[in-house]
Amino acid sequence: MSEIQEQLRRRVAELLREGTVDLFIGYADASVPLKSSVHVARSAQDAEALVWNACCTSNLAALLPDLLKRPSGFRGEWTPPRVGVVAKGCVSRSIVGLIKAHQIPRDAMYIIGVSCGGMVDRHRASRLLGPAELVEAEFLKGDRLRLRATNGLEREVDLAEVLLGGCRECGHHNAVLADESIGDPIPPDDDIARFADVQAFAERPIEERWQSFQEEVSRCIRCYACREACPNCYCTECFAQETAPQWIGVTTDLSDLMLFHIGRAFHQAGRCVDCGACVAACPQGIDLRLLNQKVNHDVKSLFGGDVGASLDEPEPLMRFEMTDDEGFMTEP
Amino acid sequence: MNELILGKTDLATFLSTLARERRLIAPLDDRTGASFGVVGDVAKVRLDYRNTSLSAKGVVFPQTETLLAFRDGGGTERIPEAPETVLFGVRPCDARSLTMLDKVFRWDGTEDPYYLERRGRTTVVALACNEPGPTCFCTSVGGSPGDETGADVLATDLGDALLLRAVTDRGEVLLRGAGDAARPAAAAAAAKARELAAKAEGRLTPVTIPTDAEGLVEAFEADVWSDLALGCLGCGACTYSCPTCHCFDITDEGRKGAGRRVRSWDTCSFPLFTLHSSGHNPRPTKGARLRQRILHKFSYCPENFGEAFCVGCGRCIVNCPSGIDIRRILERLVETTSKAGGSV
Repeated sequence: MSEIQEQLRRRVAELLREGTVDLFIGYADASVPLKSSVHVARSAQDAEALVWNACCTSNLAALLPDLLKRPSGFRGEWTPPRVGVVAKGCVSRSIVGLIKAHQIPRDAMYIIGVSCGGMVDRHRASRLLGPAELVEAEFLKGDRLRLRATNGLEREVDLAEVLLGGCRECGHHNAVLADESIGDPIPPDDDIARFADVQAFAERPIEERWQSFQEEVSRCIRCYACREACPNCYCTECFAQETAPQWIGVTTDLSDLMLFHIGRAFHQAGRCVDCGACVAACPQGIDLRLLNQKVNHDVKSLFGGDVGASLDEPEPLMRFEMTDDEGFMTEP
Repeated sequence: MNELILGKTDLATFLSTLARERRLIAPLDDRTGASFGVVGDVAKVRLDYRNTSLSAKGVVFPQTETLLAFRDGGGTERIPEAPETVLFGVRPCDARSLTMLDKVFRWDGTEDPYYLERRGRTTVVALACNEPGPTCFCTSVGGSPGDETGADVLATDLGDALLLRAVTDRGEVLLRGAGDAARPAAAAAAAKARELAAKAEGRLTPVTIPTDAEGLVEAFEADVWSDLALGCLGCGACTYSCPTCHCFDITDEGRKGAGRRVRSWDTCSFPLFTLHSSGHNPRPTKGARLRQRILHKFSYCPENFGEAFCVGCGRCIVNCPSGIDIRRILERLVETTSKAGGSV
């Protein structure tokens, strides 16, 4: 990890110095254990703060449209800045999706690909400590993590035990689109059951699933951290906040919360790369992944293909064949 | 005022007595650490938490509330009939934040009956902090780990017992009706509580807070805002978990022949917050919205209410998905305003 970090800092400093990019988006340390902050470097000196570790959960692709699109009200010819970005596998797939959706121009970006072994789910790690709270976390050799709690309790765990759900089932460790890459590529693990979690959930009785869904969404405070952390949520006006017509209420009544989360999951169909940024962003620790994975599983089994896998192939829901199943149509 | 000592083994009895005639709200186990909830089983109340992920403001200012309901042309206003409530175990920062909300909801002759009804029936038992966290900075914004502001009773964890000190008449009444579990405290207990508070205070890292109101206004047009907001996602995790943020929206929800008027939390982080129906938005960028959040707390509130609306609980730091740290923002502002010739 630290070797990748060193190389990254060096390369970003060079890119900024030679003017290849105007700014570079990456990660820096945060004030809270097992978190990182979004870091925007504008000078070679800024590049010194960049980090690369297992806490880099944000999907940086979510920040790109704002930086690259013509600002509303801007008059004259818009030249986007040259933006550099560090991209793990999922982030690069989101970038591919955004390029295809005409949200960001490919040639305004300089992408440094990094291979990624997975990111830590801080809520999952905290839960290992029981009721005590996490105050410090330290990465040890051999992919081990030492957690220290408020009551002095210490625990050492394998990184694999506390990874985000999406990282445990990841099929794209390396960037699929990059101008250069840092670190050795991580070979795909063919044995991984990519939808194991959602399939296990699907086997539970319907009452239990319904109960669990309600419990999860009832924790929601409508802060929209999940939406804002998601590269796919680039709508200028979200259905959840539209007022004419008002599709759903703005309250924290259970019906509004359920509608918001179901609506958001459906809007992700064929576009979610299971990066886990929404899970990491949620201040309430809601298992946002489950619904998304249900939709991902349906898309995969009905239409095949991999979301954001390459610039050349159309996305799963952006192509059609004359032989497509039309079983869902009820009227001619 | 009255000072009592309560053995930890008697805590459950004490809480049960409180809960007999009142609704008891206290920190309970949660996947985010601890969160405030209505207590069913007093054995589940936690004292060993640093702070809750969300503040306790929802007890007096719920995220969603129906202001009035209408049906077939007639409407009724719904002033809540709040139950007598004990808010047990809030940290001193949160207790203090309630005094700030009080100023907003009773301001300049205008009273908010919805808030005041709940607030008037809430007795606050604060729990002093012996172990402040790395994101705490209460002493830099006028609070302290043993602060009594906003509390009716201040409790201090002495290890095997709690020292309960009545701060207000209301707290006095609460303790008087709390049964025999708590006994009069010896002077040594109070001395130990003071010692713990001082020790906790010493563990906090001071933050430089911009106090130069004019300098801050000068900084309104500074480039620093867009720079600080670069990583901001524009979500409401900071403001919704903040104990002093109090902005709300009022919407009407109608069906055929019936409907209701609802008040719900809103936040200056959302573009929709200031979007005009014409399409014009006076705060069009994330920088402008971040500036509003910071200046509201550190410039407009001092002007309107005589104090900055930040209690240093650190929740916005813990909950920000982008790892934005308000302490670093404040330090940058002090730098900017001093450069601009301010007297900070």
